[in-house]
This record gives sequence, structure tokens and C-alpha cells, in this order.
Amino acid sequence: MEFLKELGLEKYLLIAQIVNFLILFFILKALFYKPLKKVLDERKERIIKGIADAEAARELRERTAKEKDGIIRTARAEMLAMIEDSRKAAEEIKNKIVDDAKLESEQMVNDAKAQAQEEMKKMEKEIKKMSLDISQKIIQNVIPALLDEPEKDIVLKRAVKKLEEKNIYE
Amino acid sequence: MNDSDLKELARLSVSEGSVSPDVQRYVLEKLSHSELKSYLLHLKREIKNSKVFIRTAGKPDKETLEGINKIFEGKKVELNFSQMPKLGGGIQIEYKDNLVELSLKALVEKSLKNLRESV
Repeated sequence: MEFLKELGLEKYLLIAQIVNFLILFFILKALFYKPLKKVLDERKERIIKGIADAEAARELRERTAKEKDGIIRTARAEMLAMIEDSRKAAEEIKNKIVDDAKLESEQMVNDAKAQAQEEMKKMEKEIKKMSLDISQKIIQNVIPALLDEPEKDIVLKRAVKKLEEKNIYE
Repeated sequence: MNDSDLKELARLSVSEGSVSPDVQRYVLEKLSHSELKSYLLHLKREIKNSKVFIRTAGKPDKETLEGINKIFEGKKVELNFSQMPKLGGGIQIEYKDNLVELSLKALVEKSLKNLRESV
């Protein structure tokens, strides 16, 4: 007990203080510790929940990122497929247009050929007619001088003989 | 008087060579305006029908003329000869509404016509 005296402490005072301390301790425990513990527990739970939420959010983010990547990959694949389809469709359309144009041009060429042939035939006919007209005019001018008098006489006699045989007048 | 009577009257008038005074008087006194018109048309036609137009390229000789006359022997027709150099040769005979042509020109024209049809 000497060391207490050296420290300037009274034995009874120390006991009283210890008793006070204990009383205060129990009072505080009874009044504050439980609510405080409850608050701390709640806070702890919130933190744990926050961490869990954060973890879930992280996982969700990662999953979302993965899904996003998947979606992007799928979209890219679909887009590429669509582009390929469009390219094929465009190619088919182009080929069809080219084929149609080819057919149409062939038809046009054939029509033009047929028309040209028709025109040629018409022209040929016209030329023949013209040449016949010209020939007729030339012949009409030439006929009177074609035969000399003795020949004309022979032709006339033959014609009269034929008419005599036919008895043309009734 | 109907149309066939008028036609017969016109034929008789022409066959006699001239219209007798009795016929003239009858026609002028008895026929109506329309009958007279019809009679004159028949007369004109009969006169035309009584003539035969013979055309040759050159002048026919005696033998040919005899041949032509032989064709119309016994027919009451008047032969009218003329020359048509453009026939080239042969003969063309026109009577009533007929045209008989045996000439170089007709031959050539027939050939040209055939050619035209074949074109």
C-alpha cells in the first residue's frame, strides 16, 4: 500500500473510484453499450451490405461488360452477316440488272436488225418499182422505133391472123 | 314507152344509117322529156357500138386490111382505121366496151405488170 501513498492515492478513494467506475461502467453498459453496439452492428451490416452490393455491382458490371461484349460481337456478326447478305443481294440485283440489260439490248439489236431488214426490203421493193417505172418510160419511148416497117408488118399480120381465128366480134 | 323499147328504137335508128323523118317526128312529138333523154343516150351508145376503132403501128397493106375486114364480115359496123406508132407493132381494136390489143406495147406492159406483181 506504500506505493499507493507514493503515488498520492488514497486507498478508500481509490476503492470509491473503482466502485464509481464500475457503477458508471454498468450504467453505461446498460444505457449506451447496447444501442451503440446495435448502431455499430447496423453500420457493420450496412458496410458489409455495401461491400456485397459493390461486389454485386462489380460482378454485374463485369457481367454487363461481358454481355455488352457478347452483344457487340453478336451485333457485329449480325451486321457482318447483314452486310454479306446485302452484298449478295446487291450482287444478285446487279447481275439481274446486267442480265436484263443484256437481254434488252439483244432484243433491241434484234429489233433494229429486223427493222433494218424490213427497211431494206421496202427500199429494195421501192427501187425495183422505180426501176420498173423508169424501164416502162424508156420502153414506151423505144417501142415505136424498136421494129422497122417490114417487122411491124409481120407482127401485124400475125396479130390479125390470131384475131381471125378467135372471132372476137359478136 | 319503157327503157327497152327506147333502146330498140335507138338500135333500129342506127341500123338504118339515119333517123327517118317519121321517127324524128314521133320522137319529138310523142316522147316526154325524160324518154327523149333516155332515147338520145341509147342512140349515142348505139352509134358508138356501131363503130370499130382499129389502130395499127404502121400502115397496113392490102392483105392485112382484107384480113381485118374478114374479122368483121357480115357485121353492121363501121371500121375506123388509124395509126398509133406507140403500139410498136401489132394491132389494137376498140369496139363497144371492149379493147382487144395484140401489140408490142401491150406485150411489154403485160410483162412489166407481171414484174410489178412479183415485186
